Amino acid sequence: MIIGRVVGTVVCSVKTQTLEGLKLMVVRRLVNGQEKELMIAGDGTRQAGIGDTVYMIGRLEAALQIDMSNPPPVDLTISGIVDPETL
Amino acid sequence: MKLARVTGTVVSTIKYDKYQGIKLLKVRHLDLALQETGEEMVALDAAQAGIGDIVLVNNDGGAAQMILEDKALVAGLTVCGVVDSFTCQGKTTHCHG
Repeated sequence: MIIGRVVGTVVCSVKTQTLEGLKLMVVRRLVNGQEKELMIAGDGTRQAGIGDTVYMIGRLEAALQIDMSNPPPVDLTISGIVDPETL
Repeated sequence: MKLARVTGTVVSTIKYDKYQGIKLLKVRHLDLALQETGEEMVALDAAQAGIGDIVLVNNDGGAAQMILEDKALVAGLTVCGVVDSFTCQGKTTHCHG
């Protein structure tokens, strides 16, 4: 799973039906501490906020972690938030 | 699978529920000269690996389900072994100590 920092949120009023109710976050990818590209990730934890350092899973697992029975079309999902004091 | 080195651990209270009780490690892939290549990533620990260990990492969801024996688990990178030594083209590299 790759590491990133949440920098924003995405609001889409018109989107695929299975994306309803899923918070989409803008995440700055961190590669060995270096800030890299921006990415959009579905918030699997449903508790990620701006400034949180998170780890994200990609590919099919990204969609299955959100909902195994009715997976949404996401290719990147926030699997967890790194506890702030342990950074 | 690939060779990697454990570079740290991840403490994470808020996470995907199936990860509760599974240790999370920070790993970086290694080349055969044990030089770190690529980026630091987070992996599930299924081999009681510690920081600094040279380990085998597996990046397949199905394999993670088999390793952690949970059909409903959705995971990717998993540490599935701690390497003692490896031999390549007649040269043996010992990974402990």
